[in-house]
Amino acid sequence: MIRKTLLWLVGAALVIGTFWNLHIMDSAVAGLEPRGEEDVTVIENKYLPIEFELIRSYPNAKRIGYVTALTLKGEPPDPLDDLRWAQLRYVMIPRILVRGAGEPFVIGSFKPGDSVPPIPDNLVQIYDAGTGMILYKQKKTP
Amino acid sequence: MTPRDLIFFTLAILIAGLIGYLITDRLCPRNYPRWMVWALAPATGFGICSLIVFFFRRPMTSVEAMLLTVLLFFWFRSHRTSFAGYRDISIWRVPILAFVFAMVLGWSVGSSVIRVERYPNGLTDGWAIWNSHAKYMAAGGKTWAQDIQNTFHPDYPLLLPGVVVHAWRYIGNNSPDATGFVGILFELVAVVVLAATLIKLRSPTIGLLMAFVLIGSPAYVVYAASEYADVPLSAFVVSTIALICLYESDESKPPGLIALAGFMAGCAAWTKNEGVPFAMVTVAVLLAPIFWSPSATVRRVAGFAAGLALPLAAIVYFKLTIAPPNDLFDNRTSADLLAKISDSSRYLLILKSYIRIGWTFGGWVFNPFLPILAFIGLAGVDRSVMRSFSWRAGVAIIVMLQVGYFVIYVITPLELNYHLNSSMDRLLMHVWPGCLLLAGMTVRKQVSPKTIS
Repeated sequence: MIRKTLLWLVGAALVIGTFWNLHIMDSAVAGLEPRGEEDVTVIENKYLPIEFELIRSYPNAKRIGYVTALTLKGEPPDPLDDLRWAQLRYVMIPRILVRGAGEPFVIGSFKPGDSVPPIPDNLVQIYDAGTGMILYKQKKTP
Repeated sequence: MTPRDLIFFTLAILIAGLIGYLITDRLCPRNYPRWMVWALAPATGFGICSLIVFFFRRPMTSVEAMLLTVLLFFWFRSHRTSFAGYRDISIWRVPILAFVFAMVLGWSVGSSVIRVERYPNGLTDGWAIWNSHAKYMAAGGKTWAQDIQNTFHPDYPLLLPGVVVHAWRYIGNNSPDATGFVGILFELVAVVVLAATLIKLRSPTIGLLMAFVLIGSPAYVVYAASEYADVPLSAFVVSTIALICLYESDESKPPGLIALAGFMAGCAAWTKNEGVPFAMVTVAVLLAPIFWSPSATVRRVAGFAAGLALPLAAIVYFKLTIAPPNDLFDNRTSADLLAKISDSSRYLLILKSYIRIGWTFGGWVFNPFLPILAFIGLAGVDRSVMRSFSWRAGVAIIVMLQVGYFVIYVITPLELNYHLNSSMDRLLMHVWPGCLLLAGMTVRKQVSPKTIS
């Protein structure tokens, strides 16, 4: 009898424990930021105007270069810079995003409102998304 | 995800489930309850659909339609439409525990769906690895195999991206939410396989209680909705061990069950690189009794190898033609390896991490370890199960897999603390449903639904 009661209690504890664990998890979900503020979605929304421009004017552009204020100054990318590059690389698939200004097209990613540092002489701006992302083209690209 | 996308996503999942059901049905013994076949069907269907995407890609839907036609033809030839297999469900006196479980499952899935809505691209591994691979497979054109090199870990196998591409093809766009929903479905696969196997081999109460513990592991649920491949891998691991238990518990030793176990192990290896050592240790464990019972062992291993063949072919082809060398093994020198192997502090640090993270990896507020042990102790341990080959094989597989992971940590080129803290909880997730299955197997059968409900 005691054993059965204890068994019942332990079983009930496992069930109640599941409720407790799920309650904590559910509370954490309730605190998540809205979809539109999620990092990758933000990057995607910043990039979309450039994608439309590429589709409209240069649909075959596959490999795209990537520069930021930091790399244009000749400094190594910091962890945040790396993260943003990785996120944009994901968003742009099936296009291929590579670091540097050596590709026929190059995206400059800057903080909105900040002044854009001088760009390399071989690039010419062809589209400003107004979101902090600017599309450049090599001057010699036909 | 729009309602239209949701309808086509559901269609994609139903097609995968139906293919899985028809294949599982052919491999399970005729007298098997239908609900058990349905429990194993989604994992089989996801595995098959992923392989079809990998081998055929563009004509994926044509291949699926042809396969479905052939399977349905054979099914109708060998079956009369009958609900006999479901009869035992209707005579079940559903314990209150089952109702509570259904409620908890619904709550958990609802919470996960909201998480996917907020983080449609998943957490870092989700978008950086699995979804990136899926996007190249779906839209990368003929050069996808080269293009995929421009992602993180292009050497990782493609089961999960394959299932995502399968869903995207039906939806007609790369809906990011679909990837999260696929993760949730794999979590449900693990829960259902765990519960169904224990219900069949032990009792409904034991099955449901262990499923409660799994669904009540917050980190497991979060990783599933965050599009990490560790949960799909764990679903294939528990399915493999469950099928080995089902095969060994059946006196007729149905070859279809062990072939299905081989297929699940192959799918584990096709999901993540960690699945490769899992498949290898499973073969080694199944082969172990060769000296004292050769004929049974040969039959068992032959069936297992038959099921393993197709996913293994995909892995070999992928590793030889597409995948670059793994970052853990590339450019290693013997001097570097020897220095790490002979450093005793690394072993101590890994052991300490196993103890620390082993206690907390589920992200629990209420840790279920002691209650589970108390439940097993109070219900009584079935010693005959612990002496059985299937139970010992399951334990040996999990222990050997952990030993393999331990060795990888010893020789890892990454900073050890970083590597341990960033991966060990997920490695323990791989075997968590399997551990719950083996724990449930040890409980005496007499624990009836009445005891709890």
